[in-house]
Order: sequence, then structure tokens, then C-alpha cells
Amino acid sequence: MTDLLKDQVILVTGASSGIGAETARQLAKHGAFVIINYLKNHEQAKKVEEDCNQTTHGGGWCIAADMTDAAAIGQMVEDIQLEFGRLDGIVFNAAFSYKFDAQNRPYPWHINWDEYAKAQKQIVAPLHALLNLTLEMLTKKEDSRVVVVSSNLVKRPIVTYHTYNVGKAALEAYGRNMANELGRMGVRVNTVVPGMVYPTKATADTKEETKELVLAQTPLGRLAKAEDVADAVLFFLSPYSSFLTGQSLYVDGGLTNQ
Amino acid sequence: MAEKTLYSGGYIPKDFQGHYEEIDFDFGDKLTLRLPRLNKESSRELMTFLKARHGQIQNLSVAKIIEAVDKTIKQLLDKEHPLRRLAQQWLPVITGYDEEVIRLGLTRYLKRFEAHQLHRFLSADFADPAVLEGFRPGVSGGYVKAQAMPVSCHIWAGNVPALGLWSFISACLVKSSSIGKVSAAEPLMTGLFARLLAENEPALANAFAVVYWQGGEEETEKTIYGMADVVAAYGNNETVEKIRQKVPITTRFLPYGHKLSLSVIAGEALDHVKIGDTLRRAAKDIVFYDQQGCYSPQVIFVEENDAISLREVGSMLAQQLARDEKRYGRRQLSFGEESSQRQWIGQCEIEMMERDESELFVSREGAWAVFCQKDIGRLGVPGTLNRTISVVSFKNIEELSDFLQKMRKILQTAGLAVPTEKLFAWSEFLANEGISRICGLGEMTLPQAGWHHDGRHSLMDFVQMVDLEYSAEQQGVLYSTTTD
Repeated sequence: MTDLLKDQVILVTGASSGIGAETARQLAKHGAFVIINYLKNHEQAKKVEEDCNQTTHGGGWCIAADMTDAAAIGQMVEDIQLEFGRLDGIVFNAAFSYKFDAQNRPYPWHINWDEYAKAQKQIVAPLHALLNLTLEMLTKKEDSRVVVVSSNLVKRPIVTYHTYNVGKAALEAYGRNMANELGRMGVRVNTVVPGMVYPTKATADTKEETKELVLAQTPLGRLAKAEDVADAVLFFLSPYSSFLTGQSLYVDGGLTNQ
Repeated sequence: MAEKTLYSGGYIPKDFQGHYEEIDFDFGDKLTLRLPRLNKESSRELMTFLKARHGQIQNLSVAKIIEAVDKTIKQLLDKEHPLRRLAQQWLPVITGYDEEVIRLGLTRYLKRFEAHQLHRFLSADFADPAVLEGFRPGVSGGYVKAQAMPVSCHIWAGNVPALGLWSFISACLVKSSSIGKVSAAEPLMTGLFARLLAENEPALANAFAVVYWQGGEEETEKTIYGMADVVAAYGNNETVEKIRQKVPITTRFLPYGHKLSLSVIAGEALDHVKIGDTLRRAAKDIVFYDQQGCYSPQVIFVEENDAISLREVGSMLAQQLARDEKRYGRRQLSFGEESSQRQWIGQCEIEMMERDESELFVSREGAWAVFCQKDIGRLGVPGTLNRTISVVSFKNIEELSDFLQKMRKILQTAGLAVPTEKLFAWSEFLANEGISRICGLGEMTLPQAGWHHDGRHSLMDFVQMVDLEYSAEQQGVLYSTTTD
């Protein structure tokens, strides 16, 4: 592979499985030292760590922290500070525990506003907390990067997972605002917007009819794989995107093509 | 590294006391599957046992059997059931097929054996399924009964996972006891089904055995084929022929050997709106189980039309196969398969040099190949399985005749994408040429319940029809003690 990210320390949240795990592996292959954040699944995170450590120049270190718990985020950032004293990039991918059940999803008139609020709290608040805590490390050098992982359901709610989609919309808005705010401080903030990614833990039980619905409208005729998303994340972390900030890159085979 | 798993598969009747050996099948460094293995002595003992206990299944009603099979199928359809999980975990390791192909293929296949579908199996073969319970009035006078063959022997192939369930369940439905030999290529699924079925209906626990014996072991095979009432053999022609030679002339023999299946696409299915969907279905038939089933197409005939050229159809099909390869990866080929694929591609290339209008599309990694042949007369070996296919154009359906006649003895399924206006005329033509199953494109690898496999009756082959003629009934009246 390349040395695009050699000697850089990059935190990937929610990295024990799916998009996060594949991203961690991909970054390590390109020389990054990846901090693999995970919630519970130590065994799987350890496996990702092993994979990262088997790359030529990259490496991995897994660290548990519940991204909805500000104190836990604080502890994790402190550990990173102690261990490395630097942070060159963040891939904000931690998933909010949402049940993607297209067939049985609730109608919006049955949803209490508290559930929307809770979704935003679980989706956006962790990024806010994480950026506040890591800002010092990120702004110490030029060209630090933050990549936020959103969902193309914001642009085109082909399946209306209301609380999730609205939460992700807030996340995208948060990312664009931060891009403007942090641009002059040497931090680029961009968003990768995948379509349905299969297979991942979140889509493992997705019915074939839902997959077919998406597939039939996708010009490239297949669903995204975690690797496709990892490639786009790599682009935003690499010097090839050094004049890009506040941008969104759709990884959905053209589904949201306008 | 994770430890190697040992799983004991197959099934031995619950009360069988005889001695038998075991054999281990190793699948990489992940799984060892242990199966009962028969030799001359144990096969004689087991056959004697099954014959002696045939009364148990014979006394069960068909309704009871359907209930038990349905319960078993529902368990295996339940994603959380431990045996479903086991099947999903190990079948990809055993067969090399993609996990997604296994997961989806297993579900849609098992659904063929739910209770309502089993009734369809019965109706396909018996005008009055009650003939399985006892004598019923016959249409031409007298009475008729379908008497189960006491013990049916099945020699299953392993090309497609769980294929053995078809004949196993068919025999079971008509109350025939079974002894089945699994293939080393897929020795898991039928044994697992048998085990669960026996648990669900204890009266079936002594009605079947799912075992292994080495093909070619003279004494064992002679014993089993000699004692069985019917022998159904699946495999390539050479294997089936070898078995046939050992089956006594007095024993019913059901050969299921090598077959050739094909697709036919009418011009109407290729307009700008429909072509994507049509080719998606065409590719599905090729991709599922990598054409290893007898029902998978090896050639696609495309009607010439104004909308799109043969070359464009071939190119779009190739693109679809490339996308499908990402979604459902092809299994690893053996050395022999790889070299026959290379050879086939080589032949296509020579043909391409000789004829400008033929064209080959082939994936960089050799995961699929599409060969477009404009001249049907020059169609040689249409493909070499494992996602290789010939696409051939025709103006008039009758042009297929020469090719079909050459292949007549091995023809089986035709998958059609054809408008209603042509459906019956073309079906009549294909039936005349020797095709025994016609289905919609995309459904070739999933025969419907009650399918007449190679034109035979799935259930009827495991029974003997018994006629109780009118004369006997009439004479009964003569001798009746209550006659005045």
C-alpha cells in the first residue's frame, strides 16, 4: 500500500465492526497508527487491532469508551494524550444503537419528540464533546482532519427512519458549521455519506425486499461495502483532499445522483 | 487460532443396536464432520432393521408426516434456531459457496417444504392423495392404493447444498423408509434434517438412516442395492452408470445424471426499461450455486430485436455478473475446474479470431465469462459451468431445433423471459424438443413444489400402485355372510 498516513495518529470511533473496522484496517494499511475505539466487543476490537498491527508501517491500539458518556470520552482523550501526545485526525463513526427495521419502523405521528431529542443527543453530542476535548491536540499542527460518517438517508429518505435520519441531518449541519469555524485553525472537517452498507451489524437482518428497493434505484447496481466507505474516508484524510473542507462525499453507487 | 470443531452428523435409527464404523471428513482447519460409515456387515444389519421397522412409518398418517416435516422446516427457517445457525455457519466452509448465497438459497429452498407446499407435492402426483392411506375407489372401477416401497435408497450428490432433502422428504411423505448416502462434498444438511425430524416425530425415529459408504465398495453396495426396493442415484453420468450396473434388474432404479438447461429471452424483455431487470434475473440463475445444479443455464438464447444488439446484451450481462461477483462471490475452483475454464475461454478466443461477430467478455480474475455467438450453427460447448455462459441470437425459435436435438437426452430446464403471446407456442416447441421444466427467468435454481424432476413423478417413484379390481369386489359380495 502507500505511506500516505505514515506516522499519523488517527482515532476511529465505533471501530470494532462494520464501516469503522474496515476504515481502521484501511488507514493502517496506508501507514496510520489507528486508535480503535469500541463500546463493548473487546474480542472483535482486538482482532481489528491485530490486523492493523500486521500492516507494514501502520499499527493499532484498541480502547473502550462509551461515546454517549462524556466522562468516558474524557478518559479516552486523556489516555491518547498520555500515550501519543498527538492526534492528527478523527473518524467520527460511532453508531447510535438504532434498530433498522424497515418493515416495522414507527410512523412519525407515533413518535414522541423526546425520541428525536434522544437521537440527536446520541448522534451529535458525542462529536461535540470529542471535538472540544481534542481541539488542543488537533490545532497544534496544520492540516488536522475530521471525517464525519453520515447517511444518504438525510438527502434522500428512501426508508424513513425518522429519528435516525433527523439526527444524522443535525450531525451533517454540525460538521459543516465546524468546518467554517475550524478552517482557519488548520482543521478540515468533511463528511462521508454512505448509502446502505451490507453486510454490517446494522444491516445483517435487513430484509431482501428492502435491499432490492435500494438496489433497483442504484445506478451502479449493487449495495455499498464497508471497503467502499473506508476508501472515501481515506481520501478525506489524505493530502489529496487538502483544499477540501465542509464537503460531503456520497458513497452510494449514484443513488442520490441529482 | 480457533480450535477445530468436531460435529457428528448423519443419522442412525434410534433403536438400531448394530455396530457401525465412523468416518471423518475434514474441511480445512475449521471443521471435522463425523459420519456413520457402513461396510458389508453393518449395511446388512441396518437394511434388515429398516425393513423390520417399516411398519412404524407405514402406520403414520400422511397428515402426521406433513405436520412433522413442516415443524422441522419451520425450525430450520428460524434464524435463531441452533441447527439453522450451524448450517449457515458450516455450509459455506463445506461447499465453498458464498455465505449470502447459502443464507438466501437455504431459506428459499426450505420454504418449498412447508405444509401447504407438501400438499402440492401430493396433488402433483396423486389425483386423490388418500390412496396413500388405503384403498380408494378408482376412476375405472375397483379400488386403488399407493403402497410405499418399504426401503428406498438414495445416493445423493453434493453439488448444491441440501439437495438430498428433495428425495428424502418425497420418500418420507409416501411412507417409504430411507437409507441415504451423503456426498463427501456436502455431507451435512440431510443428516441434520433427519435428526431434527426424528426428534419432532418419534414414530419416524426408526424410519431412516443418513450415512456414508465409500463409492465402489462392491460388497457394501451389492448388499444395500440388493435389499433396497428402489434406488435413486444423483451424480454425473459416469457415477450413475456405475451404480446402475450394481442394481438388480428387479429393483426400481431412478437415475438423475448430467443435464443441460438453458434460458430463452424474447425481444420484448429487452427494451430500455426492462433490460436491466431481465439481465439481473438471467445473471441470478448463473450466479446461484455457480451453475452446479442440473437446472442452471449453460446457454442463453436471445431473440434478435431492434432495440439492442447481441453484443450489447452480452456486455450488459457481463457487467451484471461483475456486480454480482461483488455481492455473491464465486467459490474457489479446483485445479481441474480452472483448467477446463481456461480451455473453454481459449476455444472462444479462437472462434472470435475466425468470426468477427462473436465476442468474449471475461473477468480479469476469471470469475465469470460471457461468450456471444451470433451463429447458432457454430455453438459448440456452451459453457464450462462456474459462471461461464454462451449468449446466442436467433430470429425464429425453430432455429434452436438442431442444437436441442443434439442435446435431447440431457435437456432439462428452460428459463423464459417471454411475453404471454409467445409463451405457450414457445413452451410447446421446447417441450417437443425434450425440455421437461419451463420456468420464469431468475427462478431456474428454485423448482416449484411438486416439480417433476427430469419429467418423473417425485412421489410416485417411491410407491407401488396396487389395484383391487372390480371382479374381486363383486365376488366378495357373492361370498359375503350378510348376503341374502
